[in-house]
This record gives sequence, structure tokens and C-alpha cells, in this order.
Amino acid sequence: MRRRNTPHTNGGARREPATEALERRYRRLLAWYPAAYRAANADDMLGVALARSGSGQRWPEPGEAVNLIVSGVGERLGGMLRQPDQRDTAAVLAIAGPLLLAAAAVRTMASPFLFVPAIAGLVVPEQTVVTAIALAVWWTLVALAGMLRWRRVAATGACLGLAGQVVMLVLAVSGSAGGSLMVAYWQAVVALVTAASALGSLRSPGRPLSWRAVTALAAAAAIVAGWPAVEVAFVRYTPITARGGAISDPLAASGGWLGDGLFVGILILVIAAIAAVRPAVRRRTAVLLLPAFVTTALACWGFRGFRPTGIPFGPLVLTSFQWQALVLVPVIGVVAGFTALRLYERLLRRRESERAAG
Amino acid sequence: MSEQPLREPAFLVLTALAGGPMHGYALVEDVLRLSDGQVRLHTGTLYAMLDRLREAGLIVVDREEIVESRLRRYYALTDAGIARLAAETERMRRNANAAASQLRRLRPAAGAT
Repeated sequence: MRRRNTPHTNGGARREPATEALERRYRRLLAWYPAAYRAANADDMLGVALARSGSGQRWPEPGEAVNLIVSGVGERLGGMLRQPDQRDTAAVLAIAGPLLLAAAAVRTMASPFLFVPAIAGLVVPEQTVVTAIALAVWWTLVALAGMLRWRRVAATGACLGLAGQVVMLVLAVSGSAGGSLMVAYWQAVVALVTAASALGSLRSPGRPLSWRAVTALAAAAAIVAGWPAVEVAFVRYTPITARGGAISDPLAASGGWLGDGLFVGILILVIAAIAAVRPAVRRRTAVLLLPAFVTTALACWGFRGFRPTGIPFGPLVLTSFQWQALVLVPVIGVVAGFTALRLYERLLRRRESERAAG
Repeated sequence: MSEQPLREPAFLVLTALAGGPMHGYALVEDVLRLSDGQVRLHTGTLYAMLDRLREAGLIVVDREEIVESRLRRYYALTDAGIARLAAETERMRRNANAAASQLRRLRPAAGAT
């Protein structure tokens, strides 16, 4: 076992600066907790954190630092999510979000392979494949941890996954990974929601989704991930030379019946999954998921797909109207949804109290 | 708190407190000792768990002391905590007995092959 000293022992003048530095850094980490929580517990926690440290240690151990940050953010979110309904909704999203991100990673990797047979010399970068597989495996494990109710593991994994998605986004914006720009934006948003949900569900004791519901969600994710494999069967290539050529992809455009059918299939599976949760959680999950589906439908049909005409490489160019729509539709949808939900639940409570009184 | 089985760290914290009121760091050390070095609680995890156990009425703050200008809080088991620990111990004992019984049956068969 590692040797540990309490900071209260007289370690001499030389150790004093190290202890002070360590205490200052621990206090900085404790700032992740809400002020009220710090006022009640910071001294006690600081004593434990310092006592766990080795003599002469100037920096908190990485594991302890991550644990304090995750716990602190979880406590902050927990303040907002004291209600079991909110916590269980967060637990649902902490499973659904990673599944979607895992599927999206596979899909991002698989899509360029559609064009490999048509373009001589086209090679999908190994880095793209490795990164996508790593992300897919990572998010799958996060979803599994959420399902197994390993809440802290799921929250830590989701936070690290969010960091990874943000790095991907920065690389995409800086031009290092052109082509994934549009994909990376929404993935980063989903990762943010996932991380927040995983942290918010830290105190959710139950399992809001049955294994059957998770299977439905996983099937929906599998369709998202496997879509390019189906798509490739329908693509017709005219060999592309230096002067040009053509790729006919009936699923990519709005007229593709199978693409629409797969989208509807995904929607049905998601509805089946959330139909199994209790009503209050179902309503909250629907309020959050519905704008996501509307935005996706808008992008697929309204904008005729995220994919630009021709080969899907290089940053996608969206008009300012499209940008505004992609941001405003989900934001307004969620705000309006929760406003309507609050009014609806107020009405339900009033009816219930009237029934009890009568 | 629902009657789901306690997780190992929570069980070990209640077990440690069965020996008498303890402050945070003493709990970390006692849990480490009880688990034979297997469970070393992080500070954030410990306090989140103590909050949950307090909310469930299984533990209470026994007293507070000021040590070197810093507050030190002692936690103690409640009657509900004692009952829950006893029930959990019994449940684990039953499971362990069932496993031991199955293993005894398995050993002669394994020896015969």
C-alpha cells in the first residue's frame, strides 16, 4: 500500500510550501461544487483530500482531481435535477446519447467508403478509421456503463468523450479533418447533452430503461451505423476520371424511398423504446428528442441532405438561413416543449387535486 | 432508499461505521482495510455516498470538531442503518452459503473426471 501522511503532522518547514500549494489546488478543485455545498462540506472534504495525499505532494492525483470535478459538476447538476423524473430522464439520455454517437462515428467512417469504388486512387485515411472506431467503442462502453448503472463510470466516460468530440470539432474547423465539419457540430452538441445527462443522473437509483427498450435503441443506432452499407447496394457509379463523372445515389436525395423508410424505422424504434418508460419520464424524453428529430428531418428534406452535391469531401457550406434554422429549431423546440410540458403537468396536478377534493 | 442491494463501497462504509462514529479520512482508511486494499474511496465519491446514506436515513452526523482550524465531521449509523447493514449481511451470507454449497457439489464431480 502507498505510504500516506496526514498533513497535520509536523513535517518541517521545507514541506510547508508543498502542503500549501496542494491545499490551494484542492480548494480550486472544490470550486466545481455549488457554493452552498462548499460552505457545508469543503473544510471536511479538504481534510480528507489532503490526508489521502503523500508527503511532499504538490499536485492532486489525476484520479482524485477528475473525481472531484465530476462529483462537483454532478452536485451542481444534481441541484437542478433533484426530482426523480428529471434524474430518470437524464439517465435515459445518458444511454441514448452515447448509442447515437457510437452509430454516428461508424457512419462518419463508413460514408467515404461509398466512393472508393468510383474514384481511382481514393483512399480513406487510416486516421479517420482508427478515430471513428475508437469513438464508437468508447461511446458504446459509456452507454453500457449507463445501463449497468455504473453512474460515475458513465459520467466520467461521457465527460472524456465530450472532450474527444470537442477536439474532433476543433480539428474539423481548423481543416485537419475536412468533410466531417457538419457531422462534428451536432455530435459535439449531443456529446454535451450526454455528458450533462450522465452527470445529472449520478443519483438516479433505478434503471429507467428496460433491456428491451435499450435493444430497440441499439437497433435504431445500428440502422444509423449500417445505413451506408445499405446505401452502397443502391449506388450506381459512372467511373470518375480527371475530367469528371457521376455517382447516382438514390438514398442521399430527398426522393430516396429507402432512406426515408430507414428514417421512419429509426423513429418507430425510438418511440417504442421511450414508450416503455413511465409517463413523466416519457414526456420529458419526448420533449428533448422531438426537436432533434424535427431538425434532422429539416436537414434531410428541407436542405436536401447534409451532403453537398458531388463528392462529400471538404467543408460543407451552409447558408446563414440554414445555420440559423439548425440552431434555432432545436433551441426553440426544447424551450417551447418544456413550457408546454410545465403547463400540461400543472393542469394534471390541478385535476388530480380536484379529484381528491371531490 | 429502495431495497436494492447496497453497492460494495456503501456496504463497506456502513460496516466501518458499525465500529463507531468516524470522520471522513478514517472512513477512507477503514474501508481500505476492510476491503483488504481493494476499495480506496476518492473524496468526491465518499461525500456523494455519505450524502446518499444521510438522505436515506442510514447515517447521521454524530458531532463536529475543529481540528487545526478545519471542521471535521463525524458520522454514525442510525438504527435504520444498523438494520439495513444486518439485512444486507444476511443476504450476502445466504448468497455465499448457496455458492459454497454448489461448489462442494461441484468438487467431487470435478475430482471424478
